[in-house]
Amino acid sequence: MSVNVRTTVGAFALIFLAVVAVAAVGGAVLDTAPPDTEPVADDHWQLDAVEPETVSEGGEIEMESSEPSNTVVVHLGSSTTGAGGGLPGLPIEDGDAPTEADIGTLGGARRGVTPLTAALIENGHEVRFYGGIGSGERLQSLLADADAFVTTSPGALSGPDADAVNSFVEAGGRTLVASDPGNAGALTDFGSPFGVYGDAGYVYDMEHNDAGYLSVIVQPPESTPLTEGVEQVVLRGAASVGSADDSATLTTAETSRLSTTRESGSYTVAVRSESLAVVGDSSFLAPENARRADNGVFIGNLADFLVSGDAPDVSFGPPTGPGGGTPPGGGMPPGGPTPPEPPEPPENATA
Amino acid sequence: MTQRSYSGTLSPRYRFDDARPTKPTNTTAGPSEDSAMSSEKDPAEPPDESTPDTDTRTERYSPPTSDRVPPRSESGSVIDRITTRHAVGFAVILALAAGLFVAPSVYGAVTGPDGTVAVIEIDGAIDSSTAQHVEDNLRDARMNDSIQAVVLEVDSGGGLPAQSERMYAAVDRTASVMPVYAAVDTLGASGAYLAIAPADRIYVAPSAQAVGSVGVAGAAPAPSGPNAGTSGPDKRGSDPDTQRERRQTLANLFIENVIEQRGEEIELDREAIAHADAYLGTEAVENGFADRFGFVDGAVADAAAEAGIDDYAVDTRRTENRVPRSIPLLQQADGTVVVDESEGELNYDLILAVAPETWDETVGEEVVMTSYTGRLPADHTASETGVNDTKLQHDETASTSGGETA
Repeated sequence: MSVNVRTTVGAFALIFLAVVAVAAVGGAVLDTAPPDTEPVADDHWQLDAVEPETVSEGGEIEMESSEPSNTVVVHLGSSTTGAGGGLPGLPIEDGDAPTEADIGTLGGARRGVTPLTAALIENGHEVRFYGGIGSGERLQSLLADADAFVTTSPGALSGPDADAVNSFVEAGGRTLVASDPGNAGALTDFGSPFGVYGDAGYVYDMEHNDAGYLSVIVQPPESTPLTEGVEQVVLRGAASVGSADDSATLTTAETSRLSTTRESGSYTVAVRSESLAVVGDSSFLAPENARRADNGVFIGNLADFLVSGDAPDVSFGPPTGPGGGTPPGGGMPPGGPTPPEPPEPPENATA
Repeated sequence: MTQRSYSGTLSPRYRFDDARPTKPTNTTAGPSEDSAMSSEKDPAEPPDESTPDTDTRTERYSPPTSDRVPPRSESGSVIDRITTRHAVGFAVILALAAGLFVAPSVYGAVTGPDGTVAVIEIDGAIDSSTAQHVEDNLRDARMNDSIQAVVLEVDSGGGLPAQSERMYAAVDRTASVMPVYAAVDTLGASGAYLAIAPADRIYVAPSAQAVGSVGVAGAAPAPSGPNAGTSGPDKRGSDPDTQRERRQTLANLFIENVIEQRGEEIELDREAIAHADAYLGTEAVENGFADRFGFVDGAVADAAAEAGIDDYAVDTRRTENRVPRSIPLLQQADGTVVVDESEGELNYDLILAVAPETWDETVGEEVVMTSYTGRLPADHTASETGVNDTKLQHDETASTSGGETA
């Protein structure tokens, strides 16, 4: 028997093609593409949908006072850091911050109050800084020649210095205390003779704010000399303060909450007790915030407040050395000058 | 004469015997060969039926004359018989081998799983490699016909927002074509929660410690100083107002994503969600951040049931290289984004979607999360005074600034 090559090859080709054809047709029939996925919804990613609400840039810092030259002493606490030394509020920080603020022309704690000091100087008043007991200057002697006093860190005042400021306020010296959250104890200690206290914690507002829950928008409940022309003030991190007569200069919206209790309500963040004005925040004085909303108008009103009225009649007795001082109203005790008291250890009031 | 006539009938006897049906060769050769042989003999001599013979085998097998049985015909018959027998045997063996070869597949097809549930791990701080792992495996799940459900095994406190969004989109896309469930162990917070928000169902362990944390965190807005090395004032960083607004924009994106996916399940309002609290597992089931208690096995079983596969296989896909405790990540140096391997930490200059529970392992322990005032409590630092310069610096700061925390 001879092998028929043609028949064999033909049979092979026929069967091969049949198998391939079945596979191709079967694959085409049975194959299903991956199911179509639904596109990811992205309407809520548009900037219009997620852009935070912000307040507008506000008015100029203008003083209406025509008072002759006054001297304003400004205390900022630490020379390197401090509540008024830069932008407040570092929920997360690495060491002393903002470090960038200490570079070049941005450096220094005094930067935080430049809008206020610039307005005062521009209107012919004198500004003198007090750097604490380590600065070599005596606060008593500065206050003796001063018409007003400003501090953004009442907790950094030594005991004698705080007593001196108390005497200054009692004598009618206009004093502005901008006390950030964290200084409730010191503010209460300082302000209690004048019926002013500070609450622990901070105020926040999740609904009405300036691009951040800490940046509360506050309003004056009624028009006062301090709030004339002011509709809204933005505070980047405010503490609640109070006064004995329950007067309020600035209050938060009803949607705000106190961090310690989480209760919503309108909280007072600024009060005035005669010659003492207290604001539970110092950030509004910073150059980045001074033109936010009506902050500038409020700063101008505060500047007018500081330089208005009569000069206080206060005497602190003879000098006793830097940081020290004779108790207000008292003369030199027998036996020589009183040695300076050491600074009080910092208090810890955790909110 | 009688003998001659006897001998003359030899050939017809042979043909007669050959034609008998009991002849052994006939059974093998088949009828066609018989008929062929008969046709050759018939014209030569008619059968002699008058002399039936039962002669010996020697006579029967005496060689035929060459003119009666052609050589070609005789040799072809033998080969044909052998080839056919072997062919049948070979075919039987071949069929048996082929059957044994195919049998396991057929058995597996009959008794094997109807589908596969893929278990994909989301573990550690979320960065690009995490997002790639999840996105690649989810894409494979969509393209692979055998995978009919996905379970995300989650234990992460978040990481970079954009990478979390990338996983969010992949989960959302996959959930549109098959059941996607997520099972959270201890952590399913911040960026990790954003990633699993589009899942069809979220299981949590009752003792899960951080579920939710819908928000972002980063360095506080701060102005930048003059820098002669930059080409513009914002090259080193935007102004504080812009920084604040952009961070809030990222937070709003996060919140809106969660509301988009789970707005109907979560019983808290937008403000409460924006508080960015991280809930326990028991709380999360109560407030709708999660759907039910459970673990991976339960989620796998439920996902398979939802996909309609009673008999299923599980394909677990873990991250090949476990995410290190601290991730070398991006660091901006004069506007250049580089990988900072020396630090080995996620740069806190970036705004992060990280739960406070994992902050240290994400950005390193040197970056402390402090209170509003940015000052450490005096009692905290006093005990560590002198331990290192950093802590001493904090202590001095606290001493000079009152040291209170809000």
